[in-house]
Amino acid sequence: MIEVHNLSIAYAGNVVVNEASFTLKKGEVACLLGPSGCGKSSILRAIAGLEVIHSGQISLRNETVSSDSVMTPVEKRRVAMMFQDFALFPHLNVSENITFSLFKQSKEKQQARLRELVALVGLGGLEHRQIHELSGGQQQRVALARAIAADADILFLDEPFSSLDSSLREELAADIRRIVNQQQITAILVTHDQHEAFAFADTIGVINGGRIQQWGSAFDLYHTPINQWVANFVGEGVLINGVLLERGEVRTVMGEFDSNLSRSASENRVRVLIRPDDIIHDDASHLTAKVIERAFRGSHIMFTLELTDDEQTQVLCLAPSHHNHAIGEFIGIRLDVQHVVAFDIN
Amino acid sequence: MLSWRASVLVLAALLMLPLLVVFNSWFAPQIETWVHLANTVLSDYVVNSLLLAMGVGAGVSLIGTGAAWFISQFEFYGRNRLQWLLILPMAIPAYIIAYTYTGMLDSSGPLQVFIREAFTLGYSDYWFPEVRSLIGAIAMMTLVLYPYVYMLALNALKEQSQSLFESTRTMGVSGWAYFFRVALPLARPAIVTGASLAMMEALADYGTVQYFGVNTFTTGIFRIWFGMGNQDAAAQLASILCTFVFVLILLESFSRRKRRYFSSGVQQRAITRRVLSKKHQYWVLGLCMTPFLFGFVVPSLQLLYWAISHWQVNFDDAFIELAYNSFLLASSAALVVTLIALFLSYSKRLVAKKDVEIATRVASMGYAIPGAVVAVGAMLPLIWFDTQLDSVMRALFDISTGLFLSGSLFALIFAYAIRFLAVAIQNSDGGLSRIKPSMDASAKIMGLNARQVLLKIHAPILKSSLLSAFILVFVDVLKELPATLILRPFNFNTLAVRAHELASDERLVDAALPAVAIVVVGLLPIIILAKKMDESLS
Repeated sequence: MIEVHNLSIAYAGNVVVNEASFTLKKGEVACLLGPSGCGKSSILRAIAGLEVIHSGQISLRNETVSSDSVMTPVEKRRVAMMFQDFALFPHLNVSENITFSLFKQSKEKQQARLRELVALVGLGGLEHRQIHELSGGQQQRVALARAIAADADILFLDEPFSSLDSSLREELAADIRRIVNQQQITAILVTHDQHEAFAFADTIGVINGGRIQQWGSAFDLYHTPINQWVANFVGEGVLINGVLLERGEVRTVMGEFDSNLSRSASENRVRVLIRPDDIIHDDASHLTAKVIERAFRGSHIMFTLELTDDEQTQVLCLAPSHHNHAIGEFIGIRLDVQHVVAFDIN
Repeated sequence: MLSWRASVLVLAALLMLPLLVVFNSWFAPQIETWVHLANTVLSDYVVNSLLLAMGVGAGVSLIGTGAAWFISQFEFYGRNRLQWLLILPMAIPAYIIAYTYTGMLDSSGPLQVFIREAFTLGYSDYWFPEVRSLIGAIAMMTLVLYPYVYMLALNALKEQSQSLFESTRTMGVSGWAYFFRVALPLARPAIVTGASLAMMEALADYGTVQYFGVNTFTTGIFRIWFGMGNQDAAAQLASILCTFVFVLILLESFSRRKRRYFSSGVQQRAITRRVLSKKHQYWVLGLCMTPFLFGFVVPSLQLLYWAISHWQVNFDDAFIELAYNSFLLASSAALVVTLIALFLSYSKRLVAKKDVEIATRVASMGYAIPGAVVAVGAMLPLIWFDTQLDSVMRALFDISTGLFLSGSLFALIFAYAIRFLAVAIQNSDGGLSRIKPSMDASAKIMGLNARQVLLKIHAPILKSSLLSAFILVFVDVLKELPATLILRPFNFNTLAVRAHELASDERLVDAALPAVAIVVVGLLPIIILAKKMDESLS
């Protein structure tokens, strides 16, 4: 449905997107995740036709829309888009906003489609309100209805939740996800918020410095990050020092484990990713660590622990919140490592 | 605080007096005069005034919105400079551009002479549009008043989020459809406000319509006041003109009632200007140059040519005295008006009472009242006061005080205060709003007394706002024609009055020197404005 091949974008000689490639099937929901300025919005805008590409190729519905020789204008691409500032028309009311793109259809058809959309996004009874009379969440629902009104099967969402309260954000994200699935819409969300990305998308592309670092499911990104940057950016955790042994195992202060790296000829220094959920708090364990910091999170407490080794390695541990240990206290920990991810630093 | 409050209320009442006088004139019905007017020129007054206002409204909306659209949306050669060049025509009063174009386009002007010589034609052998007509007056005023719409529309269009444009395109709507379906409706309140300001100016104009021989309310007021000597009837006619203006203001505020909702408060993305192709760049540049060219460059060059060609004859002691008079009058009026504005702004800040706020708003309503109306309304009570004073003084001390107020500069300054107070208050309010109450508090905590706070904190912060208030009023006074004509003391002339007299005597070339002086000084506030525009861009 959407095919991006070796896409590069540059502003005044300054490359902001470097050879990005990915493919989405019909109905697939993807997310471009990365810090601000990483180029994620530029990719989205290039696919929508709002940005001129430098090189590469973009195809929508098996038809090339951007390449060296082709640049289909936005209005011919039949894509829908939601914006951070909603981009609703303040001079029109809710129903006029929603039917804005249906101007070529008959009044009856417009009304029928309006009723359908209003029911779909849950705006019943608000059809004649002015935009300024709606809450932020309601405004973004209008924006969704308006975006998909013309039967668009491709939807782009450019940080659509970032101007909303966090509680509203989750509810709206879930609703949009449901509607997108139900209507078999292929969608791409752009965000800097990984929780939003995890909740919304099937596949996530993590982007940094104009390059797609890793393309995969939330599970893969969290548990098998492809490089140290992704490991740091996605989820919480620490990278501790280790040594890669001949048979492909790594040795750390916490013990020896099988790793993802293949055997090496000599003993290589590596960094090993330890997630908070890899460390289980166990009062019975003989391995202890000192509490350096604690952050109460309701059901759990995130402890920052200092190990007893010479390097005073620090790790994170997420423990149920009845284990109310004070700073300075030594607590017992145990490792529950399913798959160790190590990065060669030579 | 009571004395502050009382003096604000008294001051506001004084400034409202002329308006009350004008409407009060109906208690002395002038039936005979009105029957005469109704049988002769009254319908001309009404029809011409309405056509003039509507024509100017349409003209300025078209030019102002068009220019603002291209400047705000597209990147083209010369755009940055044109952006502020387009407001320069505002420096030229309508009556001066009218003299200039008449000189250029009438049958003895260079253009028609050229046509006759080129095609060897006689005077009546060809058709040429008549400048001195209603259409001509509409064209002249449109050329110098469109910047009102241009500036407001430019602001409104620049405020529109880039997302609006992009989302509209994803919905399959682009180009002109975007302009008509989204951009224009959103900018409409600003355009209507600008157009109605221009229409108020058109209704207030005397110099242009009088020179072109178009009968409107203002020429009627002059004819009845001076020609028929009927002051009550003149006041009554003035009240009708005033009613027209008030209806216009009501319509404008009605059209604006939803405007405050138009920005959603959510983070807005600035417009990215679209780059035009080379060919289109020249077209757009040409289009946007046109109003600047005909509204400023052409008339300025013509005026300069006339002024320089007769420099030796016209630049004499009489001219220097004229310039000195104008300068003296304009600066004393500007000083008085700025002080009144400062007083009212401070009162609003110190006395947080509803009546004080209403009083200051009422006091600044005069900007909408045509100069001729203000003059008539100011003259009548002053004459009454002078007559009373004179008879009392005669009875008591056997001294005649004569036209103590009505025949002196007091009358002029009083009228200017009414007409131009709004401009000054806008500036003094703006300056004062930058002094946060917390600044006063922190200065006092550091041990400064009230006087020191005023001198060390308020004065330096207010300085620039008060200066710009002073300059704006100064220039407005310098350009003002109808009120000055009615209220000036006997044998007292200003640049504007002299230019008008010379032009009316068909001595256009001689009128150029005072006209150039007015335009040059008039450029001052425009340059300040252009600078502010530049600052808001960077």
